[in-house]
Amino acid sequence: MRDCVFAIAGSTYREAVRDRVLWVVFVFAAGLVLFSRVLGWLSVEDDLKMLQDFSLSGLNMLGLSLAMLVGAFSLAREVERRTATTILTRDISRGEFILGKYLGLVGVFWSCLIAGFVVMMTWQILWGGGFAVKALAALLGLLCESLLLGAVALFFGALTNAILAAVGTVVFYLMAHSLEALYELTIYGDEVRGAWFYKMAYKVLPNLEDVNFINATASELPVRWDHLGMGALGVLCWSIVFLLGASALFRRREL
Amino acid sequence: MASILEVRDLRKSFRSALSREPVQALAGVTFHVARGECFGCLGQNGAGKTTTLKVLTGQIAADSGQALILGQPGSQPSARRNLGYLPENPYFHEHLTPREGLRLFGRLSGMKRGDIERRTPELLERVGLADAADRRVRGFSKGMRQRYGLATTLLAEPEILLLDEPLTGLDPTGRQLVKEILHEEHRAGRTVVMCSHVLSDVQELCDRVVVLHQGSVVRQGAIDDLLDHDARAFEISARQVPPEIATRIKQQADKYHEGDSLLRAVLPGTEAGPDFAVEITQGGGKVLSLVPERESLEEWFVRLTKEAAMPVEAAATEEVSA
Repeated sequence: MRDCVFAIAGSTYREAVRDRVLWVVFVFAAGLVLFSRVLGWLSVEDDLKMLQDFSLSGLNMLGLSLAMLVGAFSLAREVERRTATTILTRDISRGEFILGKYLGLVGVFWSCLIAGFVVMMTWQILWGGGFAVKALAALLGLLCESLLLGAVALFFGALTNAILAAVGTVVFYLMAHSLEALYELTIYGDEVRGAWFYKMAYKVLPNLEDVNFINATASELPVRWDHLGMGALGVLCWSIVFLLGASALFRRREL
Repeated sequence: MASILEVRDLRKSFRSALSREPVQALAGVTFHVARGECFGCLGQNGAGKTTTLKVLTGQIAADSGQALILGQPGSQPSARRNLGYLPENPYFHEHLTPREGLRLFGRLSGMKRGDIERRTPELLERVGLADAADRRVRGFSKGMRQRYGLATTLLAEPEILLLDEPLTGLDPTGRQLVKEILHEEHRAGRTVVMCSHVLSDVQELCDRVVVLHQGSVVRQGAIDDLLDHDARAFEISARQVPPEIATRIKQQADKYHEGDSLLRAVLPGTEAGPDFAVEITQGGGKVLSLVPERESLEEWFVRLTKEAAMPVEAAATEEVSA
């Protein structure tokens, strides 16, 4: 891989870190983690379980917000503000540009998610909880999810403007998290309308529930690491597909 | 001289969302730029200058024709390795400082880190931004952005400089600075291609020009060959001019000024100026200067574009009357 890819990645990372939006989103997510303790007190269940469940869901929302507000805006804004012009008239292909942006975005997402996870674990330990290795499965799942959401955000960013790209990313997130539930409806429900469609969609489209270990971690169910591995592989493959799509779309785009 | 940049029968149409008819931006543009020359691309707004540069730099694809940089299509990234491009109103990442931005552009151009670190302070000094090296671009004025843009263009010492309105938005000092830099780069053997509306700058800097009008080339060649060299008038400055001669000069002059025994006048035609100079000398006066007034590039351009627009206007009039 050429150095120009890493140069774009570094610039994307720096741009995101210096943007106020990132800090607003992160502070909000950290606030959710801290607030989870209050919910724990109100809950009839194990209050630490509540803390972990709510905090991990907060981190999940952090991943989505970052993909939506940082990822989807990143590429579309480069085109709208014409900064892409000054970069793409150098010795760099559009595919390399997309890849560089992707690596930079993934760097941002992972930094925030890991920082959020550290806040969560510190908070949990402060309230008498221990460090559960299982929680790492949830974190790894979130990191995998952000891999795919980053690629999807770039795909929509290459296709359309910033706002529509953000909307597209949210729609994808909702769809990819709903597929499993819709599929289960067809198994357990009686004569569900459009069952064939849900079954096919479940088999064909990316399923983010494959890497969602939040419930398993919070409910202290056994974590199947092989499932996580397979889910990660699937997410990686889909990320490559979306990146190739983004690259193909962006190559045709006139600046 | 060998062509370093070549545009062959380039055609490009745009289709707007509102109109069904495509708008032809380039209708078969052909020109070439030789290595080491300073080349100007002229035209009114919408003539196709920026579209040509966009095709050359791979920002948009042409419908047909070729845009070659050192024999390679400009759409290929490797062709742009030897190109430094400054767009009109350049936009940069606002969160970066010039030092960080130059590091980014250096890496994009395949430069070694050591070379980038060495060139950066030199260039920032050269474009007058040494004091702003660590300030974010966000707070820069238009002129500062333009000079920063020029620094990013020069960083990798490319063979070709492709500049779209490089002097726009600069104050007089900035304009002088940028012109000096372009002169220096040209003297150093670099090929400079610039689009500009400021024709006096083009005349000062360029060897050859191409004139585009409504997406077509209407004229190209060396500036000296294109302009009319016959003097249209003479400007005469003289002292102690005999009153009788001064009266006759005043009657014939387009412009006339007399004061403190100094007479200055612009005399139309090719003969009146030199004739009066002889008369003044013979009458005991002293001719300080006799300067021929020739057609400027700007006057030539206005005349040319009016001529080029005429058939179109005539056709439009016919269409309306029909």
